[in-house]
Amino acid sequence: MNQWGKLSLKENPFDIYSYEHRMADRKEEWGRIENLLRSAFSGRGPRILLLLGDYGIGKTFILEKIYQSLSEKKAVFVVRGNVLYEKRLAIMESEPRWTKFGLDLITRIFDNIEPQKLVDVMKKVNFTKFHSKFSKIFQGIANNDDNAFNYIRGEKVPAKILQEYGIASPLSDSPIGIALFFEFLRAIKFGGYDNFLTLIDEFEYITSIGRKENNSDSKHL
Amino acid sequence: MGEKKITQILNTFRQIYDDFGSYDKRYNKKVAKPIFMFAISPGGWDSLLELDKTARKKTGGGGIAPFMERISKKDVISLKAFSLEDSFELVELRLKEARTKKVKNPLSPFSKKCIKFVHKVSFNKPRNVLQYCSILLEDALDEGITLIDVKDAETILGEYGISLEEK
Repeated sequence: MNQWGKLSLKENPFDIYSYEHRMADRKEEWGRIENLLRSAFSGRGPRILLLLGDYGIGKTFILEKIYQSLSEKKAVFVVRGNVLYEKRLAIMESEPRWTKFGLDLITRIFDNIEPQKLVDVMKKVNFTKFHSKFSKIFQGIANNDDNAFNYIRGEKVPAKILQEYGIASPLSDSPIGIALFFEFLRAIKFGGYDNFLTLIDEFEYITSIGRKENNSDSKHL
Repeated sequence: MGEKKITQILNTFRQIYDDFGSYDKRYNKKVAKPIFMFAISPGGWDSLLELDKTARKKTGGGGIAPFMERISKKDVISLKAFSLEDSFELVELRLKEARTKKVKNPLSPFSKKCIKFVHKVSFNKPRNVLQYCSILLEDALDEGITLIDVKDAETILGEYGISLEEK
């Protein structure tokens, strides 16, 4: 018996960084979240949902619960089609990598998807039927090619490799990033996914990014 | 300068949102839908609303305004503060998950008054409830306390400089 046995417990159950626990209360809010996600996933267009709450009120826990529900396939809100989802993107956890903040956001979204999940998704794409200027990048991901991953994460890729991928320019600004994002959405649709869910935590951080002066550590392409 | 950077980020979302329709049409509805869920504090949201207001005055609708307009009021979920009952439920649930045997008092080793006190000093925030209960449990174990009462909670949390004023 460990020391917690004296209190008839296996361990200290009040760890704030563990999201494996059942959710207390929040039945009403969770019901609304399920309804909104259900409507978003079965709707026709993109959607922006907002989870508003003070620090320590449970926003991160809720985002983790959404991720867990999808991972465990217990998500009652997926009524039609498949959803590609990624783990919670805590944008406060690291400084922006780019001075081009729009591009930074897109590369972070790609960086946040588990690599194996990306490989599995891209393996489902029939590249004989899917045509895009980023096809070879996506095929590279299916083949677990580091350079392909580096490209979508906004890391430096040698010009020679880019040529092999049929890419004219590096991922250097937001318009290319947005184009890549849309082609990614097309690719995953070919792979059988109707929705791509991005859960962004600590969104208020963008207001503090904005207030900082130019970050000398940020990379310039 | 600050507003410009924020606008860059929000415009990225706005553009994805706006361009989806034309992409979807061009590719015959063969584009997966992007769904974004943002978690944000009311203070952070107010800052964005404030920036939005300023931008509208300056540009008549530029800046971050186009992004803000794309969030429907019905797509906003506000998480309410924890009530005392919620705090009881949270503590009971966590303890239940870690029980090695059945106990009479579902809050054991805490007394009901102790959890009432913890709730009072927690700003109605579950994270604080968990944090304070964790401290109390660890210290109670060290000091051999088997029933943590309100007096123990006042002493232990006070030692950690946690404000004991009723919120």
